[in-house]
Amino acid sequence: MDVRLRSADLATIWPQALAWPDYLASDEDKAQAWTRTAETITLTTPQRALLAGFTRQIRVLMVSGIWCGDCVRQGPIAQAIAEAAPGVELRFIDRDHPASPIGAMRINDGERVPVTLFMAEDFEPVQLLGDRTLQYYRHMAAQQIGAACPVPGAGLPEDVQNGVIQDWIDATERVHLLLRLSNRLRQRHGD
Amino acid sequence: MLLSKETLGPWFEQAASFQTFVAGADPGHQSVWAERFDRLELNDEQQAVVQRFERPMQVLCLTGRWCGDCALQGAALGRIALAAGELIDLRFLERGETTAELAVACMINAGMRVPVTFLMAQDGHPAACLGDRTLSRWRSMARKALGADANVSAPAPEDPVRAVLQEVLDEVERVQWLLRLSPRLRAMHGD
Repeated sequence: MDVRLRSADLATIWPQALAWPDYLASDEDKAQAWTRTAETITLTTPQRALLAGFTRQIRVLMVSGIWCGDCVRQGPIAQAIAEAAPGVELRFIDRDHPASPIGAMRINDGERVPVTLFMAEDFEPVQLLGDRTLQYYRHMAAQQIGAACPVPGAGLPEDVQNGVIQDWIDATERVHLLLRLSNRLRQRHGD
Repeated sequence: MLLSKETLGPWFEQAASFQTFVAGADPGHQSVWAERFDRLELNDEQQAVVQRFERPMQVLCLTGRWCGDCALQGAALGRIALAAGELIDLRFLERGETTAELAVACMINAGMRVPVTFLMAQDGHPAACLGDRTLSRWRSMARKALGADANVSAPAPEDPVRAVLQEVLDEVERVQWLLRLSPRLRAMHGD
């Protein structure tokens, strides 16, 4: 039985999700890892210019676990993007929160986190991103499957974090262009 | 958006192979799909990526024979599946009256967009959903529609058709690593 992601349902979930400072305040001990990661993230000048030029509102809901290592790696990247992009509003909801939509976001038969839903201004779903990006999966594969099995063509990034940041920016840029060129939103905004 | 195995399974069972699906198109549309397929042979680096694939996958593409982006992504998937041998079971459904229920279930930005592609594990559990245009195509659309006001982060690709092949391959590769490194499937395969 599918639990579909409908805009009306997402609009009721949204107020129950937390912005960055409130989410970190929900567990100050575990939040330290998030803060430490955030301090290591630097967006390049071209990345900042791109994000600063966004004109559509994008609502971004990250289903997360404050205890989760992959969330620690990706949550601060999403927050850095939101801080650089005036139209991007990011909120976090714990996977096990009663209002969490994780049931409609199961990946490979698991409630994996982080899973991030990009929505239009009126909560219409656009894209689901999760659980890990390609750059991080290549890094994991090189580590777990071993140096004896190099990944052809993968070109493991010199800095995996920068690769994951770029994956996130690419995903956000794609959603922004989809919304910017959407006929229904162009009519609404007269642009 | 992701749907459940129970929802996608019956659709997958009634979907057609690449060859059968394209053969059902009228001659004008068949030639577009054939032209795209001819242009999208994988290069050596892309072949090497596909040769690393280990996990069987099901891929279901809800598409339109009349749709240019569908022909492009569909042909790219056809080439990747061909290179992957029996690992990728690729099937297509035409969006229309008989598939309206599925199209409604995977709406993007309040629209029944195509193509929408579900990438699933061998047992039908969904792992990712790709839809509708890729980033390079959205950038191209923005350049055409907005001119100097297009806020995009990369120049136009030398070969826009092959750029889409790379984007589709990147997502298939990501899902392959997701499945290869999945504890559930590692236990199943003993690897």
